Amino acid sequence: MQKADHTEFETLFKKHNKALCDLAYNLIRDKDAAKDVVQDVFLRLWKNRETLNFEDQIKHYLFKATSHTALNHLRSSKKVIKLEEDLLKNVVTPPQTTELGYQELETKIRNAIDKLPPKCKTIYLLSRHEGLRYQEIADTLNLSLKTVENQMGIALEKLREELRSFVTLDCLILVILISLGVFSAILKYS
Amino acid sequence: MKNNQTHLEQIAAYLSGHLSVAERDALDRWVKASKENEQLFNEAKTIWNHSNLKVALPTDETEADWLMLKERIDKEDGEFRMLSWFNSSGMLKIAASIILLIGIAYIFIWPGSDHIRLQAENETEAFYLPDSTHVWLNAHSILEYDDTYGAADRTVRLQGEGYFKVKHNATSPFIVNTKSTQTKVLGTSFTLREDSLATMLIVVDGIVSFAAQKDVTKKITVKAKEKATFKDNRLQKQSNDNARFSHWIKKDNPVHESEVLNPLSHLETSYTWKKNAFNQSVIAGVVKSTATVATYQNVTLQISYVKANGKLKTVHVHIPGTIASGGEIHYRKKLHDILSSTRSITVKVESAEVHATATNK
Repeated sequence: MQKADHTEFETLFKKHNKALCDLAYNLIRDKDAAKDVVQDVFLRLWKNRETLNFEDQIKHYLFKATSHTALNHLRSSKKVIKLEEDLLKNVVTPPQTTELGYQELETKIRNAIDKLPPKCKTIYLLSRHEGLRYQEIADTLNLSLKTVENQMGIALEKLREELRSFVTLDCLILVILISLGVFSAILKYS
Repeated sequence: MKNNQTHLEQIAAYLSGHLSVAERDALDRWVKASKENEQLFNEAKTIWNHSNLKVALPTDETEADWLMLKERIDKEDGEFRMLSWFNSSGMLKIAASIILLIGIAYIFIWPGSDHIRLQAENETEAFYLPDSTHVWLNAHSILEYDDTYGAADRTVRLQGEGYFKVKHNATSPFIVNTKSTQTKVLGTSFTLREDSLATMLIVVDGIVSFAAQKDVTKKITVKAKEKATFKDNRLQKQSNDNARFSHWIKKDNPVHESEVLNPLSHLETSYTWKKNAFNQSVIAGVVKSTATVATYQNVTLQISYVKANGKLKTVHVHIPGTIASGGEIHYRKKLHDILSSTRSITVKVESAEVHATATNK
């Protein structure tokens, strides 16, 4: 019985570790901390394995627990996140456009996202990157739906403020036009 | 500013697909209402669209991560787990006898960890929990809890057998989890024992709720002098007639010693007697053991009967088989008194031996 527990647990860990570490890393931007978060989640799961019963929902539980723990970590750590120079190496979704100027925009926005307050940032990323519904975010982080709606607005507001100092209005308009695909044909062939 | 935020909230909801058709129309109208509105909307949309930079770790270090986690788990669980990872037999009893530890109680508190484990080796051990709840652990039993004990509730995990004198606290229920059951109380005394066959709860005083781990909402309430078992997936309750069930809590187990040295004080017999068609006395009875640990065998009964002439005759009857602690054995004996009209009969247990293996617990 014990052996079965261990083997199952090992399999479970190996199956989900990378994805969960990536999730935590995306939220926390600190490799060691991200790994600690995931280890904590699995350790807690191990301790409580006899009182918890998930079957197929284990993935869901792990995702929630990792998000929640990552948020707690963000709240308690005072670190200022700096974007690494080789950030783009670690990027999962490539920038919308490949022109340098626009990579810069995405990078700047990512920088700005990392400056958001912990709760705000986590909510925004869970929505934008993980595609979670507001209610799902509320359940995952133990918040009210109202808070999630509210924080999403705050996120956009803060990002807008932050980006004002980097990007001029003209540039933004240009980017808007580009992203609306007006010059996409030209870009394809350049 | 505040105004902008409300609108940005709507815009965010729109961009993440949370608006209803009617709400989308309303937002559309608002956007078209002024240049400033349109600009705010477009800026927000640009930000949203270009927020897609998701990062991941450059390499997959899962193998190394796994070793790290395994080490942490082993530390948490102590020496017991070390054996389990590498061999197929994870039985606590075997691990405990192999590991070289002096046979006394010990407490595991790992530095930096919030997990505490109390363990009794070859003898009964007594402990106090942080709230002064008094716990006795029978040999080879383990009790675990962490530093959230005493907050919203007082949760412990038990392997083996424990006797609990729970300090009363109406705001923090005392919860004992075993592998297959959950017992909940506010303040009371009870013993709880789980082995491979069944889990048994006996309440001394107070009221206890008892449930299977599989569905803790279906509880049964057990009161003083009642006993509940969880066996073969069923919860059952009955009254407890064995008053000496918890005597192993005496630390050096003098009770157990006395069970060994004094079988007679733990065996009693009750019987019925009648004459059959051949005028033979037929005695049907049962020998019951009130021992809590020891098993007896080779029980001899002394039957004395008084004949019509007033003379006393005594016979000895041997009862085959063993009587487990708290168990009983039935017997039926015919006397050679066909020719006499027996006036009265007394049966008592004359002697018994202790069954060897049962004393090593």
